[in-house]
Parts: sequence; C-alpha cells; structure tokens
Amino acid sequence: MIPVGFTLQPDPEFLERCARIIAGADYWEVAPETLWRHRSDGRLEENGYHRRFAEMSRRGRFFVAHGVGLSLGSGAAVDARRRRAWLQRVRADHATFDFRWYTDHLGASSVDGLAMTLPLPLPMTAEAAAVVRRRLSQMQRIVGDVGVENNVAYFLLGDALDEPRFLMDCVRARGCHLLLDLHNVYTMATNFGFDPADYLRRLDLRKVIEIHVSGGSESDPRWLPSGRVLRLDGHDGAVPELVWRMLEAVAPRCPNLRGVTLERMEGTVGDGDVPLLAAEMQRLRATVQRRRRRA
Amino acid sequence: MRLVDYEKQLAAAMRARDPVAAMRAIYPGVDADGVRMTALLVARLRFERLMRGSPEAEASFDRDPASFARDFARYHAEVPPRAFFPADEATLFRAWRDRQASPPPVRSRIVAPKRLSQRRSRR
Repeated sequence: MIPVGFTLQPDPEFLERCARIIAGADYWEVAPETLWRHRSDGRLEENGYHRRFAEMSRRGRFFVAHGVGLSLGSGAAVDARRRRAWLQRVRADHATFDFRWYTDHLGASSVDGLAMTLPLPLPMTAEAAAVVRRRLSQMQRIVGDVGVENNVAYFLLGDALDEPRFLMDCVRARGCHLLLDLHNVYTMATNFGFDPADYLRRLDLRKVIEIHVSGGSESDPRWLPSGRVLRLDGHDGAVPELVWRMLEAVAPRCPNLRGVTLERMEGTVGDGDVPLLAAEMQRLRATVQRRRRRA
Repeated sequence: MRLVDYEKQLAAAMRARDPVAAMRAIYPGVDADGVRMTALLVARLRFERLMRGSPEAEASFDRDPASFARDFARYHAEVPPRAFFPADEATLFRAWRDRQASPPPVRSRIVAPKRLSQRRSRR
C-alpha cells in the first residue's frame, strides 16, 4: 500500500487542531530547517520543536524531510559556508529522524548569499542543472534517496513546458527522484496558461518518489498595478477538484511512488477547516488504494 | 550569462525599487506581473520571518500597521536579507531601528536647520 503522509508544522495551534489527522497519517513530513535556530558561533542547533517531533510516538510511521532552505540552485561561493552548516545539521537530524528520503525545491532560495526564502527560478541551462545535481549528490551523502520538487515560479526564464526537461536533467542520477507537486503544476498551468496534462506528459513518471497534494488561493487584484490575479501556492485552502483528478490520473502511472502527502501551512487551519482536512486525508487514501487495485 | 552573475542580478532585482526594470535588463521578455509578484512574496516572507522572531516588531505592527509597513519597506530596501532564521532577522531589524533612532552625526546636525528652513520656505 502506498503510504499517505501529512505535514508537521512547528506551530502549537496547528499541532493541536490537526492532532487526529497527524495521528492517522502513515508518515510525517518535516522541513528540517524549521526545527533549528542559529547559535551565535554560527552553528545550527535544535529548537524546541525538534525534540517535540522526535519524541512523537511513531508506531510504524516514518519521517521524510522536505526543505526549502538548502537552495539547490545556488552556485555562489558566498553561500558555501552556510550550505555546509545546513548539511551538517541535516546529518544530525537524520540520525534522530531516520528520514526515508530528503527533498528540496527546484530553484534558489538563497541568492548570492541572501535569504530569499522563496525558491526563485533558475535559467534552464546545462550549468544550472549541473549545480542542482551537485547539491543532490551532497544531500545523498547524508540520506540515500533524495529529490527535487517541481516548484511554483511566478516568472520563468524560458518556456514553462520546457521545465520538465530541465527537471529530468537535474534528477537523472541514480537515487535522485522527482517529488511531483500537483498543486504546483496546477498553479503554473493557471498562471502561464498551459494544460497541466501537457506538463505531466513530459515527465518521466518512473522517477516520482512522492506526490504532494495541497490547495492555494488567488492573489488580491490590488497587489499588482495591472490588477491581474495570480494563483498562489499558499497551502492555505482546499485541494482543487482538478488537482484530485490529476492525482487519479497520474498516481497509477508512477511505478516507484513511495508516498502521497497532504500539505497544509500553519496559521491557515481554523476549527472549521479540520473536518475538511480530515475528509481530504480520507480521499487521498481512497485514491491511492484505487491506484493499488488498478495495478 | 553565468549562474553566479544571474544570482547577483536576481538578488538586486528582488529588492529594487523597480524589480521589472532590473530583471528586464538581463531578460528582456520576462513577465512583469510575475516578477512583481515574486518580489512581493520575497518581502512578505521576510516580514513573516521578522514577525516570528521579534515580539517588539509584532507589537509595533499591531499598534500601527500602516506606519510599520512603511518602516519595513525601508528596512527591506536598505538592509540586505542576510538572516535565514527569525531571531537573526529580529537582530538585523533592531540594529536598523537603533540606527534610525540614534542622533545624527555632527555634520548632519548642521545641515538639518537648513533643510527645515527650506521646507518652511516651500510652504
């Protein structure tokens, strides 16, 4: 059976409200860097949530790591020291959590040594792909199975439908996988005006280790001078129906799929959202089981 | 363009007064709305990092959101985002605020009355 996972957010309200959903998941996804703080000597140490998550009763459940801060696409030497500290800390976390796999986003969240936090788009060049492969290789020295998530970008340096080629070039090595985020595909398709099926058709689905499912929302028309509204990947709303249909269509075609994760951002779960999230987890499980029966 | 050069341009563009112009200097066809939205989200994520790291900043924002937003915009433009964690962002912000509050150097003190008089004369 393909396990169904849920995100663990370092936020007391989130953890309290989602307690039953968390308990019902087969695995938990954490962003390692949200469990750290910076010491004055430059080293990274555990924050309080690190211990809290490490002490959770696993009973057959496992952890996967999904970061945003390593910055797979950064080539700047000025960021090298930070990346080394980051990886050292992930190594220590791996000893605690025994991550099944470790993924990060396609893009650069640290740009020229500055914290952009949002993974920013890369030129889809052979040089950029080589940088991503080098980072993945560094990650693999810590966790054997690593991967790249197809990211949401709001601008691109090329054709959106060329991104699958670039992604597959990044993850071509053995043990390097694709984390397929269906809401990200949906968001990009909405904003750039392409058919999500065209994007999915260009991916080698044998490389998919995990699928992410989530929701989002639309930007405020006052934010842009043009008044244009963009779809945002905020993990703050219901999973759109089209994303469910994409999951139904694509999951049976991913022979090496090891988990499907429902993601939700902290600060976005009100009491009224909990039944919806529970229903989404149930639907996720049912969809994945249908996939197994079909196989 | 080499990746390291792209990074430099991108980092500058995301904090530029006109991120679209800065990005179009290197990629002329880049989508204006997409670049603006990205720069907005970068600033917003930094704002959230500050709020998580600084109870004082959060209290200032609660007291007067509009005034705090203006201060934050100046801070974001003036101080490179070198902090990856909330507590470090709080330290950067506090240092910037202290610099704003500290008395100006002697030369500025001499210039200040002149500026004031100019402002009065414009009225």
